[in-house]
Amino acid sequence: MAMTAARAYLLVYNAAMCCGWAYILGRLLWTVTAPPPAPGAGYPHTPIYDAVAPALRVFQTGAVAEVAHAATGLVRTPAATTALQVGSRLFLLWPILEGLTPVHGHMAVATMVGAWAATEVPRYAFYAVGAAAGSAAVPRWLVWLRYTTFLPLYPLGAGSEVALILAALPVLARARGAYLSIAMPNAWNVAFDFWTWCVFIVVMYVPGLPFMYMHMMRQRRKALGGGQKTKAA
Amino acid sequence: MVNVLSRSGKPLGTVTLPDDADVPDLKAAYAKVAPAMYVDRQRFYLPAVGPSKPVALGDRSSLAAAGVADGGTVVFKDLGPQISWKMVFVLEYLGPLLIFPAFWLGQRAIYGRVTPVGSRAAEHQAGLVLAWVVHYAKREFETLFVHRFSHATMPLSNLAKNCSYYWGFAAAVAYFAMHPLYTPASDAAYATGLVAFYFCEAGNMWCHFALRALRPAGSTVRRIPFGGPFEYVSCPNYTTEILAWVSFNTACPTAWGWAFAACGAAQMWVWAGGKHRNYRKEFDGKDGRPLYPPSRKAMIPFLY
Repeated sequence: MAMTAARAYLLVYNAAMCCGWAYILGRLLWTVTAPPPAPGAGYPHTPIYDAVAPALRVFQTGAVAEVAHAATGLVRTPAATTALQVGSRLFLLWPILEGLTPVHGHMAVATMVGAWAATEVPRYAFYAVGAAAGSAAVPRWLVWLRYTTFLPLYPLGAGSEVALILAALPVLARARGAYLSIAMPNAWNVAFDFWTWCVFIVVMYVPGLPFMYMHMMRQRRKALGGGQKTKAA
Repeated sequence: MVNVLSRSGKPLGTVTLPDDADVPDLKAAYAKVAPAMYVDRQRFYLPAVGPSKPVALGDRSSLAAAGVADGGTVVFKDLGPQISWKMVFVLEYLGPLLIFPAFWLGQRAIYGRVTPVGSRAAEHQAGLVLAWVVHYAKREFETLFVHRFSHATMPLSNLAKNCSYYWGFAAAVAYFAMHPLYTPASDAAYATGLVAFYFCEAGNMWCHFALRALRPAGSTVRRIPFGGPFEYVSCPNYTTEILAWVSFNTACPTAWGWAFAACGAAQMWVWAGGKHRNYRKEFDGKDGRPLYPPSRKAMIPFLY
């Protein structure tokens, strides 16, 4: 099969993202399982967020390209759902974790990054192999992994995300309006309260999680077969 | 006689029709077979051939011309419960009409204080409430007495969507425009904006009366509009509507107001393109049909 420029690009992009997330997963497991430097030292021994953050910034932010791929029709995934997924992760990464250091010690950092990374490694591998050899040539076990890991990992990841946003609320409440907020009066006659925004986001997870889960279940049925056949007309 | 199938291929019954029957005759006949499926709820398609998309039967075509012979088959789609356009319009505009004055009159209850009496902000807010109310009162008036709709109904599910759009934006704009800490525009921008706003409102209403005059009462006839701004664009009602919102936001600078104007403009851009294309397709100058003026644009004179 001829390798078009678009497919070559998708191969490089997805292979790089796969490696990046594998590195993040490795760093995470290494940090969590590292032996204590001295008996009785606190746990975790190295701050987990500090260990994964440099790579996480690069590879999670790099997922913005996926929204562009979907929007320009380079890949067939719907742009809106991709934007929603990438957007919610970037919200956790930048304004919450990068902006609010007190949240770093929360144990949900490990479960969230673990769930993200364990989902992304087979997912990007699936896309990379598809770009290299055609989607029909992707080995069955990789297809199965790509459409199965989310079953436990998506609720784990989303639950951890909610836990971290909830952990950020008291931090924000201590100096309400001081962080990423705009108060009246101003020339644009607009106000934005980041604390309220966080509450709104948590509320949106309630309908959002089952919606996305159902969406991925449909994708799973389509990819692995066994579901109903597509309607004739 | 015509066989009616569901979209999954299940037989839904047969209807008996005269040889020269058209699609509205088919719908009326099917409504007698299936009384829950009133005419506005129905859409018919030709059976799909191979992987191609099924072709919908337009209301203007006769069955014979569309290729449905005696003993032939059509596919029925239930469009779901319907609501009249008039009712949707009345309800979606009622929200903004009431919400904006509510924020103005209810300042003490909503914000715990009022705009300082006699301040420039207070004066502007009074004029802005009036402009907003005039806009939506005009729309209600036009909905009830001016517009002649080309479709009687739309799906009921559109009601919630349309109302949340209009009511939500009205609340967002009103909350900040009527805020006790509202920062007014310069007096020059305020005055210029309001004058331009009322000018655009008048122009918009003129367009709506011109469109009404094109369509005889009780019909869905389509004709080529002529005169005034229609010489330059197919949809000057959209042009004036967008300019009215730009003017309002000049007099009343709020981030939400500009967002509302941008969303409206984007939607009207799409609608204007569609209407313009339909005009050009319908009035192609062939077989005795009039030719649509070729130099006319969709929404922006000389450009789009």
